[in-house]
Amino acid sequence: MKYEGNVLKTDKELSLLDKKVIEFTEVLDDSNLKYVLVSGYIAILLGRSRGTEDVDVIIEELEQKETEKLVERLTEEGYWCINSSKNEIFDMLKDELAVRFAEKDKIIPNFEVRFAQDEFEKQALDNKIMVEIDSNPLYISPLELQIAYKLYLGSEKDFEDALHIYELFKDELDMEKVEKLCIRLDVGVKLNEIRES
Amino acid sequence: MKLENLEKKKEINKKQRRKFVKLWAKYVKEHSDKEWSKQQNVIIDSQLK
Repeated sequence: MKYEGNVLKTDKELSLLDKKVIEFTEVLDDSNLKYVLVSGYIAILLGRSRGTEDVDVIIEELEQKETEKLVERLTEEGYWCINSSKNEIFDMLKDELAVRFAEKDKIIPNFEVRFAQDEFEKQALDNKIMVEIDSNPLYISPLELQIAYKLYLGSEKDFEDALHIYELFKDELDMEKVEKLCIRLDVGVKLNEIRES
Repeated sequence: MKLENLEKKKEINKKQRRKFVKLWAKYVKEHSDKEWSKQQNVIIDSQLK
């Protein structure tokens, strides 16, 4: 893997999950939507040795009509919303809830989609990293933010995800940024734990 | 078994898991993407097949 500037290049062999993520994000790209992948899938994309049942996707805030158009497009492409009826999707997103899309007749893996609402989600969307994978672009959250956010989430699994990313990219990360974000999220102690692990 | 002993075991397990995460991250760093992803995909793909 090569990480330089805002681009990360990998020639890893695609997993079934990677292929499904590429297919899903192609629909978002075709719809000219700004999106960013966050949380567990990023650690997995970057090599963490674990699976997942969902992939978190943050998209720019949309109007009701645009949301309906996206849902139609996803339906055409063979996805269904597993936790909401079609006509309630916009309201859920507006209420800062996530809606989950999966391939027709399936539950996992699913794509947990939500609007960028808080400052951290907006920051992730505005400063995303492009990952070049098998000639496809995937957009992921800045790694510094991802580490701090994972530490904030607080479970041992989240800590291990943060530790994996930190260990992998400690020479390339903007450590000042990591520290600032950790202080902002009140997880400075956890960052020290990573350093002492 | 006393709860105290269980807590101790849990803590040891946590430390060992973290050690493994570091070891694997080192492996990922030092080997080609093809090499580590082949191994990783066994775990991921088995969940989705």
